Amino acid sequence: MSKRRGTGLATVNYPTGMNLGGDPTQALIHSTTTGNFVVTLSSTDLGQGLKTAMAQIAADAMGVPVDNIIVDTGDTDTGPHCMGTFASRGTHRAGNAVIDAADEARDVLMEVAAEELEAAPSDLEPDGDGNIHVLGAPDRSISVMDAAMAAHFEQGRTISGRGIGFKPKSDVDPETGEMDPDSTEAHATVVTEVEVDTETGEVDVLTVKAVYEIGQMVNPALVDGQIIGGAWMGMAHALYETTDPYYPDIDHKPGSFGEYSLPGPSEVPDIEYEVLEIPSQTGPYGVKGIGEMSATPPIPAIVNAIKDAIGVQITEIPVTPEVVLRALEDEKESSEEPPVAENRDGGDEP
Amino acid sequence: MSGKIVELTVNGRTVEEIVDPMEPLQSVLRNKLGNMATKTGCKQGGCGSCTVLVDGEPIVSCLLPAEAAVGTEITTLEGITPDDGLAPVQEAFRDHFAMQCGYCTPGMIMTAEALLERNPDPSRAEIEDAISGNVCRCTGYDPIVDAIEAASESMNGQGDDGA
Amino acid sequence: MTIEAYYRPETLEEALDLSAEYRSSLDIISGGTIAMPAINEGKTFPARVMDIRDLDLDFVESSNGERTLGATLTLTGVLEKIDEPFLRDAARHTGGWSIRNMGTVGGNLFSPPPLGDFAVALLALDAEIEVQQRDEQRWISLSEFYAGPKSTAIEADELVTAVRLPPIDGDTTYTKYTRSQEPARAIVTVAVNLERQDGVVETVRIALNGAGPHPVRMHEAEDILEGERLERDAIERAAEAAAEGADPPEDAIASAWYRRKMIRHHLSNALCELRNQEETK
Repeated sequence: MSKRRGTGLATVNYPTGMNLGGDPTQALIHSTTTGNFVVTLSSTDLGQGLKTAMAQIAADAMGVPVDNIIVDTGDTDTGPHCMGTFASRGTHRAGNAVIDAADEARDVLMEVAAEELEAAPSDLEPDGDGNIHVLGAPDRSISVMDAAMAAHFEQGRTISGRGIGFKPKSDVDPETGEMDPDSTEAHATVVTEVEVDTETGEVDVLTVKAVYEIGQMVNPALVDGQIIGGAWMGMAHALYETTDPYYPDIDHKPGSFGEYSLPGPSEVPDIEYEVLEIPSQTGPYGVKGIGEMSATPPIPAIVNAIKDAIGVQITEIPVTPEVVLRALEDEKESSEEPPVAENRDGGDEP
Repeated sequence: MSGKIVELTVNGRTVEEIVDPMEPLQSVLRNKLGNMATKTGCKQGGCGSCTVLVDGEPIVSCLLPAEAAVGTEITTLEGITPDDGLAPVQEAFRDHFAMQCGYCTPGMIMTAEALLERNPDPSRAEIEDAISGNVCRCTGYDPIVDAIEAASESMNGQGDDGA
Repeated sequence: MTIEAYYRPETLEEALDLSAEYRSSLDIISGGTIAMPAINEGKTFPARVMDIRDLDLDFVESSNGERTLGATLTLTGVLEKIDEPFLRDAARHTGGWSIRNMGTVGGNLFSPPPLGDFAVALLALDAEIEVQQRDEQRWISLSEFYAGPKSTAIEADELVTAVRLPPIDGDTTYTKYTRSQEPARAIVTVAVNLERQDGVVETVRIALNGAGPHPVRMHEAEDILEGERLERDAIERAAEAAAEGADPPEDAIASAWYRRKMIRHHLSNALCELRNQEETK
């Protein structure tokens, strides 16, 4: 039999945010004359959908339609401070900053609308469809656009808000070693099934089954995108990708896309997953980060599945076919040597 | 550099442009003619993000000298996008969230267009095969294959649940 | 440095005149899939480039089972115009779709290793190459064409204009082994054409890609098989000889160590497949 199957599991406890010298993301919101609100951030959307999630959060916090939110993440030179889109911190940090800024801007919006409607700001409520109503008086309302026009042209006010999502620096307790480095933690368990061809060393990932505990989802489609894309990326890291192939010559570095190994569309395994929404205490609406965690646990799960299949623990990635063949050869050689007293983990070989 | 004026037919319109010897069609389409969907990718034919159709065939426009495209019909993503909305393949990519950063998307869609033109009802394996020269770094490909499958169904009048 | 001129001749005479005039200062492209990446990257700066895609060399001619393929026939053209499964297999596994739409039969002969996955099939069929210069036309075998690492038997003023294939007798098999689906490049590609009489191998041509500086024939392995039945022992000895005789390139995709192992494995598999074909006949 040259093909052997195995199953592997990995479980992860993944921090959201980092213990930098304080970890801030700031947001600014202001209204245009058309009743749109611009959310200015320096947090970068690199395809994960941060702008979409921030627009949703801003719309919810402002009480206006999501179509009226413009998220501007143009320029880290001129925008409000953000430490960066990393450590799975984007939705958590920027989301908190946006809510904070929206609260301030919403207060101004209600004050402006109150003056136009001759009511107390505390008696007003936005309906989320672009209008602000006086509670208990359904015929007394003003559109958000009219309120914005009134602020700009009649009341001479800016409708704006400033916000920050901030985690102060946590110093290590010299006595106990205790510290509080992150903002919340997400969790996942990933199970993979692989088939290893012991003649070519090739590993085929058959299935990836996962459960992700990630707090409240802001946008399930974005979460789906991260998980599916992350599973593929994790497989790519486990089996294919390296800029430093282990051959001795510098000339063997990949010089083009064609020389950089990646799995293609037909190598994508069957991916199934469930999401558990257990809200965090610190994130906006109970959000935790999912980004990086989608790509990391598939890697040990695949390596463990390879061990289950062939009985050899591989300790480097990517697990190229050559790595598998060499590991099998080493194993064979060592098992042919006279037995030594050794407590071998697993005991898969006779 | 001895630039030369050439006539190119892009999305049904004939335009004149100065091109340099061996200047790739990709560079002319994007940098000179403003067809911004034709991305600048690896410039080695390895990523597919500059895929356009030449006489209906998908090619990587970084490897075609612009002068060699004289006398052909060049189609970019702009050319398949209706004035008032999206083409069925574009709709399907949106509905199936078949993109994240979007860099590969125009090239993917051009390849998908060419595939569905030839094979209106492709299997998943045929779709995977057709797009294998278009690298996507974000989606894990599954949503893209789903989208092309759905586009095929909607173009064949079978409807699409959009899920 | 800049490229002074891009020529796109429309007749062979014109093209051969340019070749004669500019010789090695003229780079030739047909599909562009080899030359353009290097030019785009700034790795090469040819003084002049001649594009031969308009010379009407994208033909396929057949007579008495012999096929002649024009040098600028694209790999997609092979798939459209040729029914022969072995050639279709090879064309199908050379690049992704857009590259097959651009890359040509002639250009594939000049692909640096481990590219050239169509050429390796041509080598297994003992193809001949038509070479032309202004005053002369000649045919050389593909084996002669490959003169060494980065070197061919083509002179600076010559053009490859066609590939001629003898009638395909016996059985064929083609395997391209990659890390992931095409356009991934080959670890090894195995192309075999084998004729048997009463189960005994009369002639066999084994061509491999990923086993040397260009597609190579494995003569030692062929000699082992000729006159033998395709039985396990002969197959193993032939595969072993090919693995030992190979000089595989080492790159970012695979080491020479691994390629050698895969030569043995995939050649052995290919020969077993041919044995099984015979048994099911």
